[in-house]
Amino acid sequence: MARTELVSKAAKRKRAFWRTLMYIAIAAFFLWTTLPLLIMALSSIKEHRDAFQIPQVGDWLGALKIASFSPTFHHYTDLFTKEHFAQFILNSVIASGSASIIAVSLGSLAAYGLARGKIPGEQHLSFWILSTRMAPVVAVMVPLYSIFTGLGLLEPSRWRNLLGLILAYTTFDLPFAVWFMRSFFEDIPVELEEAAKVDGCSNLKAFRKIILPLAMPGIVAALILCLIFSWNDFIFASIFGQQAAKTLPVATSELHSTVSIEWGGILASGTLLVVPMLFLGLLVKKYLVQGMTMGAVRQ
Amino acid sequence: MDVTRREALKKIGLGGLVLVGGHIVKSPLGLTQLAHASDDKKWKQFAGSKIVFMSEDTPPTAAIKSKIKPFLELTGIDIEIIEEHLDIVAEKVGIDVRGRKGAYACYYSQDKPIGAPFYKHAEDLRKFEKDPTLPKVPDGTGSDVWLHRFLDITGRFYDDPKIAAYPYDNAVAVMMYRKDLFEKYSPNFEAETGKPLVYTDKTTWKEVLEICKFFKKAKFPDVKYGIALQGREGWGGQLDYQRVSYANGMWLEWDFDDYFGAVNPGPCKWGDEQSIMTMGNYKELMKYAHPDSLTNDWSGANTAYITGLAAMQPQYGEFAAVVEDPKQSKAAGGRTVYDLCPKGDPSWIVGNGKAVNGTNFGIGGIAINHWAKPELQKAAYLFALWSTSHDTQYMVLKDVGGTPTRKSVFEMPDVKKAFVRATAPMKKIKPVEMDKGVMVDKVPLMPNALTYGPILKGIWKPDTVVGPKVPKFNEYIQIQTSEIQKCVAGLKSPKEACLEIKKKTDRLFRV
Amino acid sequence: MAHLKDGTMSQNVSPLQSENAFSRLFDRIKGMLPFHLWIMLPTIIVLAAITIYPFIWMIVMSFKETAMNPGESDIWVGLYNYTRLLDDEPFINGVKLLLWYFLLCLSIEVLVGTSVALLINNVKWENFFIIIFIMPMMVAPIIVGYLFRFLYNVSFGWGYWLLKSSGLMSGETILANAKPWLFSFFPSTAFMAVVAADVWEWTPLIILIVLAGLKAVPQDQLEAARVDGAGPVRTFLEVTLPNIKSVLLIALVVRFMDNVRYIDLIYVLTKGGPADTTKILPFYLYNVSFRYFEFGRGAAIGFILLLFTIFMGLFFVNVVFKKKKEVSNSG
Repeated sequence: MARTELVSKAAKRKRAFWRTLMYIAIAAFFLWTTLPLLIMALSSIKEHRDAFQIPQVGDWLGALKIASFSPTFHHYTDLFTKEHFAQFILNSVIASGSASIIAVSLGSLAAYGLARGKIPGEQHLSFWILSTRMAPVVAVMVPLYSIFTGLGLLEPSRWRNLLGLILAYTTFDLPFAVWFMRSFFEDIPVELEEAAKVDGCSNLKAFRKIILPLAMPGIVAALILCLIFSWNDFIFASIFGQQAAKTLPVATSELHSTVSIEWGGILASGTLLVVPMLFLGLLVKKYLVQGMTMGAVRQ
Repeated sequence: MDVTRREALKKIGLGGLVLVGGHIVKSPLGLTQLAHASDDKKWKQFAGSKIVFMSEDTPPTAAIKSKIKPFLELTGIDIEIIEEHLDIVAEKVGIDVRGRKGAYACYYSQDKPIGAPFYKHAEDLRKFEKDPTLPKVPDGTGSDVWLHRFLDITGRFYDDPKIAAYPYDNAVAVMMYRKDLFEKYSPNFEAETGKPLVYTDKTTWKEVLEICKFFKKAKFPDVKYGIALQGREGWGGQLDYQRVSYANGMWLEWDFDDYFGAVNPGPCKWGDEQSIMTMGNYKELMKYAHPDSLTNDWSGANTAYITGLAAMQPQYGEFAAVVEDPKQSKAAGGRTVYDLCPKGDPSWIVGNGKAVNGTNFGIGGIAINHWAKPELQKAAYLFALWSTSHDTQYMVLKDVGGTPTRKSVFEMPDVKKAFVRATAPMKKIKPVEMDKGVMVDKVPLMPNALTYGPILKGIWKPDTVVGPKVPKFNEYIQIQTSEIQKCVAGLKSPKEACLEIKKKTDRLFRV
Repeated sequence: MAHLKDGTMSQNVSPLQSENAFSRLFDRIKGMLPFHLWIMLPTIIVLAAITIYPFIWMIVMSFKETAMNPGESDIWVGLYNYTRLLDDEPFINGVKLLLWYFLLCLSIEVLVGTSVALLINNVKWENFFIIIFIMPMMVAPIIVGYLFRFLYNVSFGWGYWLLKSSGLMSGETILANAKPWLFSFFPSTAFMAVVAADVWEWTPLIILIVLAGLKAVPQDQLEAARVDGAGPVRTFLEVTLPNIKSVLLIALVVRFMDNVRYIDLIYVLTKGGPADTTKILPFYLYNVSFRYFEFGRGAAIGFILLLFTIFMGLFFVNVVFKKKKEVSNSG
């Protein structure tokens, strides 16, 4: 009796040790992630002169001064009054949103086809789809520029330029969506569709009624990731976005002009970029992680 | 007659100017010519056409963009001004002209990075000058209306008589230093070296190095380093190095006339004794400069200077606007003095080379795209004329801080007064606390003009260095700066670095 | 298409016939390809339309020296654009650095990302952690570049201050430091600084994807392992890892491809300097194509990069397929 108690005590101590280590690791990663964000957010509400103050090296107490300043929100208001950030945000939302939706709708069909179809050379086909995302952007920029000019997407018109951006984003979102969703479709048992077909469902109907709802978490996950990729794009937007369809990352980079880097504005814009995450985070929580029913289905 | 004249004045946005100055009579504006009915038609003939000007995001462009209304009223041309980083401008213009698209009717043509490789894609401006259907500006556009040889610098390339661009802005390097710090620490410096701590146009790079060593060693609370340099990869680094290498013995990579450049420059002089010596000295300078100097470009160096970390910086005149802004800068409020770049030092020169105040620059021109439609080219030419005209440059300088290129602007009495801080017109601002108890409540109206004294001195031979204008300039400077950086970082000896540049550069130009 | 035809035909034939004709036509078209190929068609068409021409252009260009000036024409130079790379120092340096970049970014991201995902899986504050941890992904790489340039700055960077104060770094500067970090065979400090920014932004992607995979690990298998008395390490290796392998590999392939495709971070942070120590191959390609405007040379480098990516991609993908076969064999 006493012995088992002893053992369990030792085990408990061991578990406590690991648990502490685990908390330390999480805390360390938490700091690593949040400190840059915190400094970004704090600096974005400081005057440049305050933002440029750091204590002497080794002066740990002096670091507390990071919080002593009189806050100003003019970097934020400047973004919307002096620059046209409201419009740039809208451009970003339209371009990345549409591209992601297109990519996920076309991609879910293709992914399902790849997952289920017994197509000769399926492996090659699927790899080709992936490989379209592999070419270095810089190397294909010139021919893409020709295609875009030919389609009239670079004329100075907001909608044409936005359309161009949507097309450009689709080129890298679509292959990703196909590949990402394929494994989700593969995880859904074939028996479910077969049962539906026995009940008289057509292929398409079985896909719509049975498969899509089951794959929803995967689809939403793909949508979120596509959104992130196109939301973050710089190089396509800087070449194809032109003036009329300037997106948030491009507009932010332009705060670095020849004579100065508008740190306040850049950091304010970076902080603004994180905000949608709070909303997306709720979606992520619902679908990407908790709603992941694949495992349950597989059982 | 009088009525049309006033109307014309209004049209080019000068209504107020007549009342303010009365210099109109003095400076040969030739307004009657502008107001002439047929000329008015000439300005208006492309009303309704739409052109794009692709420009670097420099102060003059921002200024012109905010003051574009008079141009719209004068011509009726719908112009879109795109402001981008120089990198992106080069990228977009390059893709456009090499793809023969002509989407940008006019573009910003920085003399070496854009002009030298692409000048053939620019229309010959002499064609428009000769065209009787196009208007002219008062004073004209001949080479003597611009600052000394600026038209050659931005417009002429190699042995081609073509004029590819008009001088649009001027970014000439000057030395900016903190007078307050120099005065404050002069006794300390004197105790150590026996010399007062001063900077003049006779100060040499070697003395600058000495000052840097002093500041770095002393660790004063209000300044850490002597100088902030701009050794970043690419053009910034090339210009930064050139200011030292040219000052010491007027060393150039090639012997051709640097105003015009050469398509086939022949073997370069890298690897000779002078180049190796300068490389070693530059490394030494970097060692005592602000530690980020190898990754800073002009704006990075300026940040180090305005945050009070460096007591000196060789910098382009247009940065004065930021330096003099007390909200951003600890060097504002009369603390900064502008002078010529440092001189070469006899002991840094091999043989009997001359020591000069090595001054260089990036002068942006405005060029007309060869691939744009002829009609749009002409419309773009009107913009080129207007944006580089005396009136526009003067207006922009006064209101928002431009960088004029026409001599006549520098001769305006109020601009002349603004050269010197004591007489410069000031404007009141909301008081800003610089240090404890030190308030600044006014700033110069034309901060950039404070640099014009040294600029107007520095742009003449022998102090000035223009080149190298070579078609493969952009690759050449990559070769050069990456080897310089290797040397500064201690990965290569100065000799190895110079010989490597020699090898790669000669191969680049197929010598 | 089919629908349109139906519209024109219905004028000549009776409704009943038309329906027959329409459905017959529809069936015939439908029958031409299997259902699963039909639904893939839109994707294939879109991707082909936008990638085939650039691909051919790239190959053709790589055999040419493109004309710089109007009136000149491109010159065929055969394999010169490829052979010249053999003794092109920036190219070789770029390849070497690219391999380092992959090695460091991918291994750190996968290691840290997987560990963090395992740690926060099913803890009390999991949702809170997820939301916090994925925030860096939303900050566009170009702005992450500026943020880290701000943090690394000697004059006012908190990152610099922290590194110096904690004694983790001896040099006077981060981004201008071409000296190796830690060990003498390591890449420069500036390079590590770029890697750190990449890791900061993209470890969350791995966390997210692994976490999603973890939720899909069947509970019964975990139960069985526990009954067997397997420790956490063995459980991870034998149960969890095989289950999350395929999502993990997708994450890896995506990170791998984007490391080749994008240069945003280096573009803002170092421009390839100091002393070429951050000039990874894609950045050199950027210089060749958009600084020197040598499209032919750029195309050759681009093509080599593409082949390399495809090769590595095939390698990764084959691992995925192998895993799949194993599963189907065992099951």
